[in-house]
Amino acid sequence: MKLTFKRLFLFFSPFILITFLIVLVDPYNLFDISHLFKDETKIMCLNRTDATSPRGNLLWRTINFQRNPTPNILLGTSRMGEISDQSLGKYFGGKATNLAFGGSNYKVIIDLFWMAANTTKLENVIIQAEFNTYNALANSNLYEPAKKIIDKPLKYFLNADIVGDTFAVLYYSITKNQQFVRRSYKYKVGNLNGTDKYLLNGFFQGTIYPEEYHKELVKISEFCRKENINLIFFIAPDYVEVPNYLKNNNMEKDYDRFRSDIFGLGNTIDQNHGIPFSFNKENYLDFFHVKFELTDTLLAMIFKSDQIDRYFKKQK
Amino acid sequence: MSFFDPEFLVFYLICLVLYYKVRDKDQKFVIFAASSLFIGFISVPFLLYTYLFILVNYIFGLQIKNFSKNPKAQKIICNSGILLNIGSLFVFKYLNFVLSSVSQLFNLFNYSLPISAVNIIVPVGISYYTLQGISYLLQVYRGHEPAEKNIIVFANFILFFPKFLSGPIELSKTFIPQLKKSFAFDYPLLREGFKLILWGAFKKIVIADRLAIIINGVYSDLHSFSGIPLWITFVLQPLHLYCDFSGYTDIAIGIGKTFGLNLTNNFKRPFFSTSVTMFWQRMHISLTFWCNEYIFKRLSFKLRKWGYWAPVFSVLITFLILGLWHGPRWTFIIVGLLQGIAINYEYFTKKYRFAIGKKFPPRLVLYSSYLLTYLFYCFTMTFYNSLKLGDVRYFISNMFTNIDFFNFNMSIISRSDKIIAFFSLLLVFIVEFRQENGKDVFQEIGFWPAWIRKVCYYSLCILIIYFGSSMNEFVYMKF
Repeated sequence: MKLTFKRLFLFFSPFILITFLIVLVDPYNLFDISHLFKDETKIMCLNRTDATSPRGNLLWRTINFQRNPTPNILLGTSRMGEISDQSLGKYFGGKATNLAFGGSNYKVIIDLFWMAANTTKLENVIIQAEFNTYNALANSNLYEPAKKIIDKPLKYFLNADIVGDTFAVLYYSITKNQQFVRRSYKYKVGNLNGTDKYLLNGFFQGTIYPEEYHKELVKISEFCRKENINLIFFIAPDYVEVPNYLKNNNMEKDYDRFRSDIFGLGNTIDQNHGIPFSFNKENYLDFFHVKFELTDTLLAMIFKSDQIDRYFKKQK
Repeated sequence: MSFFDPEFLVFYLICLVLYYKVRDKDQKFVIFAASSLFIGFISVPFLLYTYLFILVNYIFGLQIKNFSKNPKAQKIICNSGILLNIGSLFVFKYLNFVLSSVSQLFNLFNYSLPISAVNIIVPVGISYYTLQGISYLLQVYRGHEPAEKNIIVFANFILFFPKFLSGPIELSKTFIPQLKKSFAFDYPLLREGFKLILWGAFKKIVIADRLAIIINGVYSDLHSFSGIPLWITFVLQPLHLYCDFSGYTDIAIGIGKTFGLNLTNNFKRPFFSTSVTMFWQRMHISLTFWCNEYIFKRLSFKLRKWGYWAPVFSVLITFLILGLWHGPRWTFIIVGLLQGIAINYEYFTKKYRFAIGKKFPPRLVLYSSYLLTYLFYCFTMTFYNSLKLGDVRYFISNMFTNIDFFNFNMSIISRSDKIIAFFSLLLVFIVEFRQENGKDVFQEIGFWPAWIRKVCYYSLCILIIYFGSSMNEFVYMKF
């Protein structure tokens, strides 16, 4: 029998080695024991492709938020994803966490809100609302896999993505190959006049009114009122071609319904109404994303001086 | 505790070491303690109920034997035991269904009955061990086997943990004699067991759990789907059920083998069946065997005066009970009835079908028979997976609307999951196709060069460990 166990151990030794490597590299700082690899390297590696970036950022920031909860949060999609916690904190006047990610949608925003509300006492919450994901079919749930890993840390060792991220961190740390970490959409050059126009069809075709999301957002709104949490909705500016597209495709009524839904939920800062910013294509990476170096401008739009006192509790 | 919990792995390995370390005569105590712990981890009240069940059936078995010179008393004892078993199953599983059905019936006549649902939790595994208890009492009563005197051996017959949650439904005449023996450590048997565990886990967590994303996703939001996604679900649902349930069975048999015990094989490549009759000789074999032995044969014999109609009626009743066994739902009853009707249809039209079949090339007949049998099962699975008859109506009628091969939304499952599921299913198909043609793939692997063998095992392990899906509970645990 000893021989059998020896054979079993030998057979499974590669898996044991991989487990050991995961603990050593800890690509998401889940255990926060080993600090052999820098956080910057891990962040670069989790952002290495369009596939790894959304789930990677979500897991990274959720783990980080649960370890260091803050009373101020921003929830949203890739449009706000590049805003740093520091910039956000400066505007809030206190510690803040950006929980906006590429690939996010209302389902993820709703789940993350409840995660944050269950983790700490929230004071200020900004939800970036957008029409292009206000769709019942935009239902991929990025939060669920992250939640499973956080709830059952053993899954950290049984997940191909985590194994991939571990080896990515190892590979990048050894080779410092810049190409390896620069394959994400983040490095794409926008082409507002060319093929991207066709992408709008992909965003808006087959839209179903998201009744469930609206109900859930109402619940969040009521919860915030009851708990005295400042909840602000922010509608970011799309490039001017988007409203044109909606007009040409008879979707203005749908947009108006979305707008009235959001305004009905609470304080809303709407910057998607013909502001000069949205006419300048130099500001945009594509129809929805402002250039990453300009994302702080979006924060400035939210925290305009006349609105700041009305909506936010400033931290002391 | 499920087979895929890490705690189970530790628990199982400890049990295995203990089993082969203790003295031969103590092995049964290891199995008893391990099985009790396993069920106790799930729920202590369920464990206590199972102990009570064991005690009652053990006493009834002994009493049947004690009254062997008094056939009348023996019959009364046996029938009382069976009634008690069926009664407890009825109370736990079907009482609320009957109460709500009666209440709905009265509502049709604008009369409301003051009946409310009873708050009962169904003990896990009850549908399986109740059938084992009934068959045991009948076997002892018929004199086909002696009553078991050793209560630990009898308890192991009911409790043995790999089969407790979802079968196979073991017969006392084959399983109890094994439980009385002791087993020395046998490496080849252990290796065979591990191979089966690996293969079962592959079918369950690499394939079935991936297909479950589609099946559960579509059925939970049925009215959002039409056309091609419904066709895909229609075709995949039998494969999902098969990979889930046969995956469980393989793991159970594999674990059994590592303890030196042989459990009944529940499946014999059912999708290579040329008729519904053949299908049920290959699908959930332990249950169909039980139903055949203790319902169909008994009923056919009792109704023998009906002549031609006796087997027809018996088949219908047997499959109705088989459907109802799955749970208190009208859709399950319809699944059973549809199978019964199909088998009767095949029985009555056998001559004509053979005559027609002879006019076509044999291979064409063979493959079209496979296909038709499979499609019929797909159709009945629509009832099986639907909670209400309205859902079945929606499903079937909307399969034929909005058919667009190039533009349909199946985003509930990721592209990588689709690819993994497709190639894994292909692998299962190849293995089963070879088995169907008399080749034992698992034996063949033993003759392959060591490095190829290792690549195969490691590939399976990598798929299971790192590419396993969400690890849902086994479908048949619900029953």
